[in-house]
Parts: sequence; structure tokens; C-alpha cells
Amino acid sequence: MSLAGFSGAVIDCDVHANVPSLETLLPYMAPVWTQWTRERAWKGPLGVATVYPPNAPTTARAEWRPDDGRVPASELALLREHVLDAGNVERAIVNCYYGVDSVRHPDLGNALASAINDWLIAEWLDKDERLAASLVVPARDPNAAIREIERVGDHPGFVQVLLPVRSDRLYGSRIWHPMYAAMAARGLVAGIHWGGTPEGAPSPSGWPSWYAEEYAAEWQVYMAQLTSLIAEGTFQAVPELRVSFLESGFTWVPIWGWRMNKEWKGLRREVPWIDRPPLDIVRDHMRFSIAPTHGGSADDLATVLRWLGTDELLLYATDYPHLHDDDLSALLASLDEDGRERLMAGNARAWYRL
Amino acid sequence: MSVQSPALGRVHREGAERLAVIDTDVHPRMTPTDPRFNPLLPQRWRDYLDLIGLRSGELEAQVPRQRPFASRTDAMPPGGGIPGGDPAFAAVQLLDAYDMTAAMLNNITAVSWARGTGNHPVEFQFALARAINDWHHAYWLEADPRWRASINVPWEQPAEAVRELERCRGLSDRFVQVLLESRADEPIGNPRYWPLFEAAEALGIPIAFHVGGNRRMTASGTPSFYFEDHCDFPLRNFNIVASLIFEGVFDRFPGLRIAFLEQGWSWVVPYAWRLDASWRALRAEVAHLQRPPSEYIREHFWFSSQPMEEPEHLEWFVEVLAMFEDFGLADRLMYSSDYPHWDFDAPDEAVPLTLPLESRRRILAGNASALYGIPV
Amino acid sequence: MSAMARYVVARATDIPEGERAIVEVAGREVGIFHLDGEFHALLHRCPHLGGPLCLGPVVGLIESAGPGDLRFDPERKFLTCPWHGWEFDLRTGQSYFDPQRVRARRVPVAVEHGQAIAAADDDENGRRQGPYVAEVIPIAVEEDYLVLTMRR
Repeated sequence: MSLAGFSGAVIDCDVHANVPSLETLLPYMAPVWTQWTRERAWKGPLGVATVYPPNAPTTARAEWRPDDGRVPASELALLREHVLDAGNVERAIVNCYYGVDSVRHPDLGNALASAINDWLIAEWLDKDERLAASLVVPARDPNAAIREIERVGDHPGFVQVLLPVRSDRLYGSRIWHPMYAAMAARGLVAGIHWGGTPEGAPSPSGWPSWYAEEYAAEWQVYMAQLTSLIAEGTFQAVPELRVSFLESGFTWVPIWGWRMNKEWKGLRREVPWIDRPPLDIVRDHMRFSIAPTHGGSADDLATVLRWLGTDELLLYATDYPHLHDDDLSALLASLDEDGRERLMAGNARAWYRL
Repeated sequence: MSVQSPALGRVHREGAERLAVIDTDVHPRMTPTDPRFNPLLPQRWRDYLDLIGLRSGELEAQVPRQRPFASRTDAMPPGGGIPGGDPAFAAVQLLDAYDMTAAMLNNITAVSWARGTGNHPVEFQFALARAINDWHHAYWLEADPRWRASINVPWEQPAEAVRELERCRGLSDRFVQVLLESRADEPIGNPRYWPLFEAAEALGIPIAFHVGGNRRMTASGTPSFYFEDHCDFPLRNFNIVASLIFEGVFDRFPGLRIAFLEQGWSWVVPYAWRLDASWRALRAEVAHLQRPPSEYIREHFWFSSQPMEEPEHLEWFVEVLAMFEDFGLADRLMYSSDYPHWDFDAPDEAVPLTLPLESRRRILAGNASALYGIPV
Repeated sequence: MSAMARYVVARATDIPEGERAIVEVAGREVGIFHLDGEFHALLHRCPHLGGPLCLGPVVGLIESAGPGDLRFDPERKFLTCPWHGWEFDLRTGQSYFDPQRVRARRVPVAVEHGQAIAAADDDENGRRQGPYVAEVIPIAVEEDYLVLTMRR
């Protein structure tokens, strides 16, 4: 794994723990679920394969696909071999997207979320002190999410709650505010991450035909969530809330922020709880991982970073085992020495209080 | 003592040279019972309007705009009616006030009436599309040679859309564009819409996308606020561009030109980076694509300027425009006002005077002149 | 540095309570508002993008401590630009969103009695008679007039 010549401390803010199979989780679930799933020959949620087609190049880099057929990123041993021991990785934040949100049965969804969290504790957090993790919640139901946050959120290894970026209610909506309060009370960051299975099309305009088409356009899902969080006064309601955008890119953030600032000046009376320019709120309450970056040249990136107004917003991540066509060296070249240190570890250390 | 009525604009001057202005986004508007519009409908559908009316499926209608008719409060026609409803007043308040060479009519309130499926009988939507275009022709194009108009078509029924497109071109060669709302039932590059692209390419006129009303606003539900909705206008761009490119529309229709109206433009270059990276990573899936996405963007897309970008520091505007122009898009940004809407951009204020003269000349008129064939 | 001059622009009774008027003075347009017994004047040009500011709706103040909280003070009057909706305190011209750095241009407006106007020497006091000039309508000494102070 190339770190483009960077030799300082590294905190990887987005590495995946992929559930090898449903059988991995069943021991962590009540016995009824073993019978329930066997009776139906149910192998697990479908949501994952929709957003990460197993054989797609972007789902795993060739060098991160085990030769022996194990599911990529499904074991701590693989994470150590490919990421933790391969570079000077001080800490890594483990995210498990298993498509729990695509499960409609509320009890099965709750049981799966709890099982994933217990598995993350037993097989990951308790076995390598370099690891932190996001806890998984039944993301369709704010009350169920709060219960799970209350159940495991105090474990010292959990620093974040994973929320799939596609949802049925925009994440700024007030129905979510009590969930954010539960996160903030425990110092947990809301991690908005690739994935999700909303009721309708994952866009304003139908279902994309090609995965590449959908993958490229996915920005629009993140943008809508960011606008919602700002517009609904989420950070006025929960002032301690922090939100990370993961697998979102960031080159869109300045122009999105300028647009919000422009509109706010004239439309403020409709959303009077927004008490300062929205882009300032973004800087205070949001961070963005750099996998993918999808940037231009180093000069282009330097311009975008200058428009962002601070080098404190970006979080280094490999997004292991995923592939994005990125050039880390261009991003590093667009930063000065302090900026590189912040990108590769300092921002994450401060943001996640590691 | 009288209150000043239409705001006086200033003729744009640069030393001794007057820069021409073409406005690429103006919104005429009528209600279906307007006494000049209503008779353009067949009796059957006038009766239907009385009985059932226009039941809007638009989610936008559930999120009230900040201003009545989303318009400037000084745009109410003195003779009565609604903003954008009086062609003579619009000519005074816009064309005369800013000494415009030409302005493009894009009727976006009507765009969802005409779409072709959903909430109205299909034949009624066809009749509405014809009546809308006839209204523009009779009361706008015929009244003032400076107007140009886009053609409202039932795009979800492409065969009928093509018929209407060809009918309007037969009425007047000042119908110079096809107008679609920036969302369709399927991503717009889907082959079911290709007959419309074929017809537009054959006629040599662009297909334009403009924000309007429609039935799904984001992937994750409906915004609560107009502020939120307004910031979210550019969301639709990403699906449109990705669909047109990855479905191979431009390989199939190499002469097709696309205009984005009121959809922003500063997103284009960062998105081009992302599209190319996506294509490089997933090229095996879309092996039918003949060239990198960014090349299609350079060749096929135009953009109207309103709402003009306002970077956090105004001196950055030059950099934003430079990134756009240096990418190969110097002939693609076209001034627009969005008259009579509240977020109106005047040509003498919204296009910064700090820009080089050549940039302003292109943006204010040159690029639109080339796209639409309007002499300046 | 251009000197300031004072312009008689209207009779005070020309603008009833709650109304406004836009006058042209020295090549510029100024909106005069009569609210709660006082007159306020602002340059008829929005500092944002040049819109006809003084044609906009006057609204009360809306503030909030957080989502769900809407506090309305009808006594605090804001002029909103008829174009992009920026809010300006009618008395001070300060924008709501950035009162220190963004404001509409306030024009001092005074009510002066006709007797004082007629008795003054124009050149000494630098007072010019604006649209209501002596040769069009005589200054009636028993009436009150609105006087703007602006650069020549």
C-alpha cells in the first residue's frame, strides 16, 4: 500500500470489516434467528451487493482480494496484513456496512445490528488496540437506533455511529434529532457512509442503468443530506454533534457551501435557526474522508483546499478494501508540511478524540 | 409624487463599446384559465379543467416559495395578472431596461403540465403542450422579434414529443430549443428517450434541462424548506450527465447539444474529474464508451449563469471562472436573468465587471449567439 | 471629496404613515419610509446586486433559538430587497446577516418647517431645493418638508 512517500503517523478513518457470512453473526443472535434463517434459506441482507457488487473493481483492489477465496476484508488478519502493518498506521476506524438497513423485519434488523456490534467488539476491537469502530444501528428506525446506541455506545472502542447515506427521511429531519442527542451525549460522531436502501429510486430521476453511472452520480445523495442537516438546524438542536462524510469526496464542498451561504442571506427568515453562514457551520461540525478524492492536478486540489478555507476538514482513509482511482501524491503535494500531518493523522486525532 | 415602477436598468457600456446582451433564461407564465391561453385548448379539455382542474403531482408545490410566484416583488404587471404573464410588460422591464438583443423563453411552470404521464390524462398533457407552445408563439414571438422560445414537449411520450417539436419548428424558427424538466421518470440517457435526441440533433437545436416541479426531490426524501430545495437544485445535474455519458448518448448522437439552465456551472469541472476517475476504475463495465467522460462534457454541454456563483471571497470568482474556462468551456457559459424570479441576475451587476472584456463579451452574448444562432 | 448638500424632496404630508415614496435626487434614487411616526430614507439600491431595494416588502423580525422556535417581533422593521430578499434594518440600514459589514446606504432625512426653509439663504446653508423647487411649487411657510442630506 503506497503512502506516496509519507512517513509520519497515519490514522486511517475508513477501513471495512466485511461480515464473511451470516453464519459469523448467528452465534451473536438469539437462537430463534438460526431457525428463522435456516427455514427460509436466507443468506443475509441484499443491500450490500447493490451498492458494492462483489466482483466490481471498485469493491476490492486486486491486491486485497485473498487468493484463497475468503471474502475481502473479512478478518483482522487481512486488515493487519494489508493496512495496519503495511504502513505506520497508528489507528484505524473500522466500518461494517452489511446492509442492515435493507432488512424490513424490525426484529431481524435489530438483531443483526446488535450482532454486528458484538462481533466488532469481540473479533476486532478487543483484539487490536489500534482499532476504533463505528457502531451499526437499525437505520430505518430512530428509536431502535437510540436503543442500540444506549446498549453499546459506551464501549471505548466505538467512536462513531454508521448511517448509510441513502435514507427514507433526510438526516436533518427532526425525527432524527433525539438520535443525534444520544450520540452527542456519548461523544459519538455521526458517520454518513456509502450505502442505504431507500423506498424509491436513489436519485431525483429514476434508477441508473450502469453501476459506473450510479457510482459517479452518488455525490448527489451526500449533498442532499448535508443540505438537510444544515437547513433543519440540527447543529442548533444538538450543538455537540459532529458529522463525518465517508466515501463522499470533498471537491464539491466549497461550491456547495457558497450556494448555501448565498441563499441563506435572502431566505434566512424561513430557517431562522441558522445563525451564521452555512459554510461556517460545515467547518465547525463536519469532516470529509479523502477516499475517494477524485481530484484533478495538485494545483487544482490546492485551489479547492484554499476554497475550503481550512486544512482541518479532511480525514485520510484508504477505504480498504475498496478501489477509487485516486492519486494520494497529488493531494499531499497540494498541502504544506503541517497540512500533510493534519490530513494523515492530526485531524482524525482531534475529530475522533483518539 | 409617484413611486418608481419598473426598475431602470443600465445599458451595459465598456468605454465606447456597448456589449450586447442575450438572456438565456426568462420565464413566461400563465394560469390555465388565462383568457388568452384557455381558448387554445380544445373544448373537451377546457371542460376537463373546469371539472377536475390541474391536479399537481409536484412535490415542490408542498414547499412554499419565499415570494408569491417565486418572483421579484416589483414584477407584478401594472395591468394585472401574474409575474411573467404580460409579454409587453416583460419587454419593458427586461428587454428594454437592459437593451437586450434577445431573450429565451423557458416556461417551467408549464413544463410539468406537458410532461406526458402522471396526474393528468395523457391526451390532456399533449393538448397542454400544444397550447403552451401556441401561446408563446402568438403572444410572445409574434409580438416582439427579440424573443426566442424553447418548446415544451411531453418527454415521457417521446413519439408525441417529436411530433410537437417538429410542429413548432414549422411554426417559427425562433423556437430554438427543447425544454425538459431536469428530472424524468428514468435517467434521461435511457434509450426510451432517444427518439427525442435524434429529432433535436436532426433539427440542430439543443435539449435544455431546467429546474421545475416534479415528483421526487432527493434520493432520501423531500426537503422541508424552500431554502433547502433551492440549494438542492444542482443535485439533478449529476444523474443527467452520468446517464447521458454512460448510456453512450453522445456516441450515438454526436451532434447533440445539451443546455443546463439554472442548474449552476461551478460543479462541472470537479464532476468531470470524478467522472473520469469513475470511468477509469469501472471501464470494464462500460466498455461501449468510446472516450473519457470529460471529452463529452467539453463537446456537448452549455450552461446558463444564473444563479451566479458568489464565492466566500468575491475575488475568487475569477478563479472559479478560470477553472471552468481552462477546462475547455470558455464558449459555454451564457448569461441568464431568471426573470421574473426573485433570484434575478441583472447583466450589469451579476457578471462581474472585474472579468476581462473578452470573457464578459462571451458570457453576456457571444456564447448564446453561437449556440442558438442569434446574430449580435 | 464632494460636499454634502441638503435637498427638499417632499411635503411631510405627501407620505402618510405606513407608506413610502421614491424620489430622485442629484442623479440618485432614494426611498423614504414613514413608519411609527418617523421618516427613514435609504438609497434605492441594494448593496448585493443593485436591485430596487426600496420597492421591497417591509416585514417584522423573525429570530430563533433553534428548530421549532420562531420568535416574531412586529415592531422591529426590516426592509427586504424585492429581488434576493436580503433584510435591512429600516432605521439603520444594517443587514441582518452581517450588520457590521453589509448595509444599505442610509440617507439622513429631517423634517423641517417651511418657514425655516424659506428664510434660509441657499448658498450659505448649502441647501438646494430638490424636486419640490420653489419655481414649481412655492414653499408654504406653515407646512413641514422632508429634507435629505446627500453628496452633491
